[in-house]
Amino acid sequence: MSPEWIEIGRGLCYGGAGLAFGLAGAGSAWGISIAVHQCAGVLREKPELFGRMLVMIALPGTQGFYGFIAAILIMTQTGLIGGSSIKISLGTGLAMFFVGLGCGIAQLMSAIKQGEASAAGISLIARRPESAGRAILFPAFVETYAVVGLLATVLFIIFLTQPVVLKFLG
Amino acid sequence: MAIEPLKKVTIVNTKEAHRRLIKTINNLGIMEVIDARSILKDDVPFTTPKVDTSSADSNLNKIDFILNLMDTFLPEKENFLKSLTPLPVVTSETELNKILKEYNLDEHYKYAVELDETYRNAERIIAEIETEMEDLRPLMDIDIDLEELYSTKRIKILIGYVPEKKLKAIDEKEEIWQWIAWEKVSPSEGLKEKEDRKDTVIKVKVIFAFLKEYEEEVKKLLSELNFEEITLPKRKEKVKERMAELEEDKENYKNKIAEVKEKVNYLLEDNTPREAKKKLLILKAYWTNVRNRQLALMKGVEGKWVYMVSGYIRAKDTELLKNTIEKEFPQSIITIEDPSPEEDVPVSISVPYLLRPIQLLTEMFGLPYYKNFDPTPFMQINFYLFFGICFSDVCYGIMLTLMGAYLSKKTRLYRGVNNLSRMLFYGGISSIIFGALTGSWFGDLYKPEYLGEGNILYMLQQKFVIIDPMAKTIIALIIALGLGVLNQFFGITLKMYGLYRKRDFIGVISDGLCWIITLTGILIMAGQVFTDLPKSIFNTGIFLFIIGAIGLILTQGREIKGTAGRFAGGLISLYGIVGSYGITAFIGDTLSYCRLLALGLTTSIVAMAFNLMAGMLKGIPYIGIILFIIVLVIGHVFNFLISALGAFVHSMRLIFVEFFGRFYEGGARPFQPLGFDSNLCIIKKEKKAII
Repeated sequence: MSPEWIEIGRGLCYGGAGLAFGLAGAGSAWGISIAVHQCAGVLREKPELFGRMLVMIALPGTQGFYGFIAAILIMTQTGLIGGSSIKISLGTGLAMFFVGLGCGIAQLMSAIKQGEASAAGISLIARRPESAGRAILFPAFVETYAVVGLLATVLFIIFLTQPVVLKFLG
Repeated sequence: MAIEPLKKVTIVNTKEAHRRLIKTINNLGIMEVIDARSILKDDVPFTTPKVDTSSADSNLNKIDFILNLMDTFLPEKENFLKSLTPLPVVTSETELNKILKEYNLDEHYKYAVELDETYRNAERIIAEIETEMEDLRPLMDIDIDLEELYSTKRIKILIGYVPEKKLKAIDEKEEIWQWIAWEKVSPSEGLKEKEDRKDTVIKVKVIFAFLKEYEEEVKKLLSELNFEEITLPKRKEKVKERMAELEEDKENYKNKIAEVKEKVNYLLEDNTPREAKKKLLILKAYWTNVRNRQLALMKGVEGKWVYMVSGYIRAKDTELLKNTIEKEFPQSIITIEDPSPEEDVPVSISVPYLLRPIQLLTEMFGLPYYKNFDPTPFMQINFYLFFGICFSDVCYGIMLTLMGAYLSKKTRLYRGVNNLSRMLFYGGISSIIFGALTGSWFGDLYKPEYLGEGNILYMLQQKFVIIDPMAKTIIALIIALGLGVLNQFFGITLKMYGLYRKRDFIGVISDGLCWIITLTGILIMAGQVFTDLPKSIFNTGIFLFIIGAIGLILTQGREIKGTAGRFAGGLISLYGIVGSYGITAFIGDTLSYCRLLALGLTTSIVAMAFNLMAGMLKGIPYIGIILFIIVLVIGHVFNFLISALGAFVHSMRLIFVEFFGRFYEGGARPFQPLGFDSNLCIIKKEKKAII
């Protein structure tokens, strides 16, 4: 579809998609780098812990994917890729924009904080390698809110773009 | 399938044979030795035997020293997968005996120390040379002997940088300049230095010479010029000559280091570095074992004639221990009894082979206490179920199953890794099932636009799919939460079981049954929001809720003194801040299970995104199909790894936090029998022999 086709509502949708993956990706990058800083220090002394560390580093990376999923879902559900394009009103567009923004913020903050939680877990593993299982739990607690945020986003996107709902919103 | 019953063993033997006794116990590898003092009364005049561990300690130090040196000079090219999970070395008794006989540790150590000293010396000297060269570098352009620049009895010579601007502004007619002789050393180009970000200040090197009597005035003047002095090194020759000399020295010492590197190879004695390291590790395991044996010896006590050692043993091993000890030490007395309730008994759990992988999780969280029950059998179905739902994709499941099967075959000797591989294997099977039910085969790769009309994946997908979570999200969400409710109820039931085992019948009713009644009531009432329930069912819900709540309010505060306090405690615990559970806690726990849906969706949506990208490339003529395949392979491998990690971590979390939170308390001391096998090295059994 050519750009002239994009009405304001539709444009707002993609703005929201951009915010969702942009903020989430930035958060994951940030969170991972926090964990990596801690990890590099530990590996200098104890290179054998690499395997356990890798898991701890990878944990804050999921938020980026959650944002990506939200963005892709917006694109497919509004018909930008594959499938028939549906009419999107200004109201729906605005709603979508803020859903994307909310998702982005949740992912951004949780990724950063998860990075910090991972770093804390890493220093625990450094001192007591046998408690790796427990250390993995710390970041998982933080991630809960990223998962819940994603779920809410997915539900919103699906329901906002179903024809019935669209009619209802005008 | 539970916590293995342990027996407490006490062996009393003649004092002379104490070393041999501990050695026998060590070889059997079935008994954990504990501090025998703790079981004696304080006034028993037994003493701790004196044991010298210094030789084992020094040998271990020597081995570590050689290993360190080898790591510095012969770093092993590590296999990436191996570095993920460090595996113990596997050896056999023949090999161990051969190494003990042939390997001359002292000689190797002496050689290694020499090499290490040479190496460190050379490193130190190179560092010194480098600092000196660093100091000399700014003086490279002074083409006279340094000696000439020394201050003499009456004349002071200073060399240093002055900003070019200031130098130009010098008014030579001023009186003081009549006393100073100066010359630019590097007239052509100066040292450029940035100041305040915008201005570059060009500094030139200048030599000043003046009579000592004017020193104070001149120095004041120079500081106004922003003069920065360079301290001259105490050398006589030209800087260039000295530099060349240093360069040569450095080269020499570098050669020395290279020589050391070469010489380290002698340590290998025609082995590859890996083999040599393996030998050392086996030796290390041997000496660690010797040391552990000596430490165990010190845990026993001795009197004038007798030596006594005490410990725990698995009930099934008692016969073996008893027979061996009685045969080898006919005059010994061995008593075997049940541990008393107040003892801190170590815990060993044993589960049938099929269920064993999940034992890893129990060990991770912390072992159950000896008097409680082992949760391992009760977290099999739910863990694999959660994993399967989170990872739900048929093709990923097949990949994981194959990977698990391959790894478990490869790692049969290593218990921990083997369990993990088998966990992946079962998890893969579960993913295949849930992937088929939710219709995810590499995401939506089955669609005609990727693989063409009527492809086999499409037919299979259509055949098995019963719910598409993307289309019927709310239904899928309710299923996920429903599983959560079931799992929470299962947890409460296990809590009742635990309380029943402790004969706490009031607890069974109040902390278990009352909650189940109350929560069932709430669930029925919540059902009203979604569908129109018949009046009678709804009323039953209210009735159940009220009965349960009354029971809880009356019993939850039973630890608190005073009727009013007890009542208030009951009321608060119904809400869920204190007490065994709470309505808010239950809602929170149940909602947490929505991650099952979210992670399941993540796996398939990311896969779909990669399919979409690959599909766009497919249209390109000639290379399109190749790009299509490349993007698919890379994308799916990536998604496979990240989703597997997510699925594992989150199913584990659901088990540890939501499920274990209901009934389980871990943290017991694991049972560690005295024996050779360790994380470092294990002995493959050939035949029964004595080390």
